[in-house]
Amino acid sequence: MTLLVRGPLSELLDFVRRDRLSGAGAILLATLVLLCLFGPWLPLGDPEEIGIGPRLSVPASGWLLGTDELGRSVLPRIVDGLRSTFLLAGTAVVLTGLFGTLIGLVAAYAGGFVDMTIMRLVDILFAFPPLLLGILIAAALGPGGTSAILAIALITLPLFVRVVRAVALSVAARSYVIAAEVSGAGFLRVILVHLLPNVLGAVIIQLTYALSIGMLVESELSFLGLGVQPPDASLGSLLRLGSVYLTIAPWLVFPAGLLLATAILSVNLLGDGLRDMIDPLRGRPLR
Amino acid sequence: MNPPVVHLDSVGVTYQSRRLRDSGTIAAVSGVTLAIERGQTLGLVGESGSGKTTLGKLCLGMIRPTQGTVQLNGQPFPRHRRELKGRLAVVLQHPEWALNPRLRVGISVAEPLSIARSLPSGKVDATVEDMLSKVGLEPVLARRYPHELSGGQRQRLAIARALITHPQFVVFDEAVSALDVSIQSQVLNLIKDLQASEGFAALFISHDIAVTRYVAHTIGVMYQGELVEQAPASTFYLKPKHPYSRALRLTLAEEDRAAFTFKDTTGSESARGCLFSVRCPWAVDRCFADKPGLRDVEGSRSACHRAEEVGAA
Amino acid sequence: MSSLLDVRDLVVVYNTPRGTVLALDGVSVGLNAGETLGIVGESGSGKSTLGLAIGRLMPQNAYRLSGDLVVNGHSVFKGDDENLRILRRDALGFIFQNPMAALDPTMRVGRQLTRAVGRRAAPEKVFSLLSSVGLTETERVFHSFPHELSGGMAQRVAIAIAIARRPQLIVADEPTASLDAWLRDQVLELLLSMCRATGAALVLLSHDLHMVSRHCRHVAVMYGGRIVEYGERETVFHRQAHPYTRALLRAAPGAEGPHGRLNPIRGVPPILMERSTCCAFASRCDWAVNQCLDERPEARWLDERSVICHRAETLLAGASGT
Repeated sequence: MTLLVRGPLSELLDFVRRDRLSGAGAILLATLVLLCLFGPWLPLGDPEEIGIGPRLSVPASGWLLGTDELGRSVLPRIVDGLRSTFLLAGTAVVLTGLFGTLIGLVAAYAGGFVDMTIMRLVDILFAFPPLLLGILIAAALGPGGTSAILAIALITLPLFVRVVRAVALSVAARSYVIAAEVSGAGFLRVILVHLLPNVLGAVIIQLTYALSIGMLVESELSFLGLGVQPPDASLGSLLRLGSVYLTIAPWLVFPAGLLLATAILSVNLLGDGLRDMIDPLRGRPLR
Repeated sequence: MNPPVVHLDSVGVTYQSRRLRDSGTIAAVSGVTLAIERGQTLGLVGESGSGKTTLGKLCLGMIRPTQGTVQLNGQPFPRHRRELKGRLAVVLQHPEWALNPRLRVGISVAEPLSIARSLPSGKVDATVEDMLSKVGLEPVLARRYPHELSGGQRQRLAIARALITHPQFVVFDEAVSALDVSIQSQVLNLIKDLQASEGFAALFISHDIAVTRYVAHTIGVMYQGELVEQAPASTFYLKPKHPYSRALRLTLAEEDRAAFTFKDTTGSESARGCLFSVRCPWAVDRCFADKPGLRDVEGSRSACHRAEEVGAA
Repeated sequence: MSSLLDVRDLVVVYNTPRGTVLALDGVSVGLNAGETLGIVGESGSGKSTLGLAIGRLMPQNAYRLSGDLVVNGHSVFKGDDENLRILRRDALGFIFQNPMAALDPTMRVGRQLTRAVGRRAAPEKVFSLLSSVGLTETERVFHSFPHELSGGMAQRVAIAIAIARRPQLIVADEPTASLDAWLRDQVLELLLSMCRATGAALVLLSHDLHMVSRHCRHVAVMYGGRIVEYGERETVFHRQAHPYTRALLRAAPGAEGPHGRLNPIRGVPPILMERSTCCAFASRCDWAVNQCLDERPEARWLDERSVICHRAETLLAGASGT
């Protein structure tokens, strides 16, 4: 609960020291994000330059992870793909985190009919198989980044609404909220001043879970050809292309798959650590 | 003559039962009539589930009665709570949740002022500092966060927040129950002193008779949603006029403890007669058949057919 | 002397993110079979840690620095886990503040009791146990889930579970705090009569000095992780030799006159980070002199009680505070 009170850097260092596994996750994730951000400036090669080497070549000095069926270097392509995956999943999760938190707060504090309506709609959303929802949206809007973002956002929305509502309900029963109501505090004041800051811990934890789900869904959609479109690549679309040549050029599939698994693992490790640190449902009194 | 600050007239609250098996209504409070004057404290005692907290919420207008009326200064409650402009306040039990952990305590204490917008913003800081010294805290504490403070300090801050708009009526709902004995007495003295200087009317809800007797001028006893006795604090302690009040007092007085033995009474309440009759060692045939109403008995009000005999015993 | 329970200079600390916190600062106390000991203290005084230490039930971040705690000749800190388990099962009974938390909400009361008595126990034995704790509708209680019981009934069931195997020592930590006022004395009386009937010794932990001295033969007052005063109840209750004992009695409402005022203890209880080098109560004490700030008082025997205070003689002589 002290997460937002102390300096973020000292908090992070403390966190890495206390919880080695989650600290490793945090460092891994930071490395991957930095790799994506500065990838274009690193001497990895051009991801879209055709014929940089022979087609489907084994790894060699000019193309460290081999080449694909058009003779493009695999290494810059999977860095590029990771960036797309991060970008699409990240955008979607931030959007849905914002709206999901607000919807959850309103449901918890308004109660009654509003609460029931919101929660039943969320239940319906939750009942859809994620991939089916993604295919439906891609069919309606056409395949591409936007529909992937929309699909991820809708799939992860229930995660936020449900958790935020549950935490907000317990916060709303606390003395300071009741005292504010007795003084005549309105709906917006209670939600923004008293509820929102006290559910943020839960939101941060959900963000990491939603991000790992989002990356997985994005890869699935791209694997099916419903996500980013060529010549752009994401890890999912790289996996699909690589799977065609699995038996003759396994270096197309394995690096991309390994990178995806590593990224999701690092996000989950970080999430577990954060959860241990600021689990709001544990109700630890502040001292 | 001024109307009382808070006036309840045969007030009742019934809830729809949520249980699957019985679909009836549950009366949390029924037929309560009472008034609290300026500068007076009504202490409310009773076991858990007796409707004390519901009665507190009724007095604050947080829930509306299903029967009867609640009046503030002779007027019904305004439609919007904001119009109350800080005339009401509450102090609750749990010190650990008394203040928003994300706000500096000075901002928490000033919150009723910013809601009522009754003070130009330049004066708020000085008012908060003044209020902190009134509750016996250093003004510099205003810049701290709640987790840096002790339970007693947080409860003092909750009192400061409640009194910063100079309310006419304050509800203390188990306000000292979670505090240790040595801290509890500090806070009780503080509440008593502040009432003497500020002159607000107060409803002091507690399960602890000794604590209630110390701060209250009048004591009301709740049993299963009904007010069964109301008496001045001094005579209540010496001569309770309801058998249930006697039972509550047993932790203070040693005598006739044997008369009250434990009975499992769940679900066996007398339908027509006095609610307490099944547990009552004084009960006679009339008590099972005829429900007693609250009546004046030697300066107190008691809902018991045998109030005179109980008081004389 | 103390054959059943023997605590010798026990020091227990908690490891917290903000450093170590001292919970017990050298506690020595003993108890004979069949006796009753009341331990009084405010939150943070260490009484709950002491109660938990009797069964080595402290949280994971607590550990013993020095001293020992011996139950029935067996040290709870030195034996292996299996011996400790057998000790907990056969010699100790625990009763906590909230009976609802002590009972398993998913299991009917009868099954929980049967487990406590022993797997092959006959139902009649469980029924007689239920009626021995004053429950009348034993059949209904037997088939109830804990949430279907009232607080008073649930605490009676918890007592029944604690005494099921006829332990030699029962530790009750605020057993009546969650109950309504008019049930408290009844439940305490029941607990004491069960102890008398089974010959068990009782350690009763409470913040209420009045209540403890009504029910327990020996009283120990804890402050800052130490037992500052210990003796028979008449001695401690009526002739207090420690300023804290006296202040506690005067601070509690209930004894003051119609227009009297409470005399609160100023300041707040300390949180000790290391063994104190002075008297932990000195900063809140009306009797404190320079010696109290300079020198750590040690336990000594004075007028039939053990007391940790430099000024105990002055208090007993009847002087008022400065």
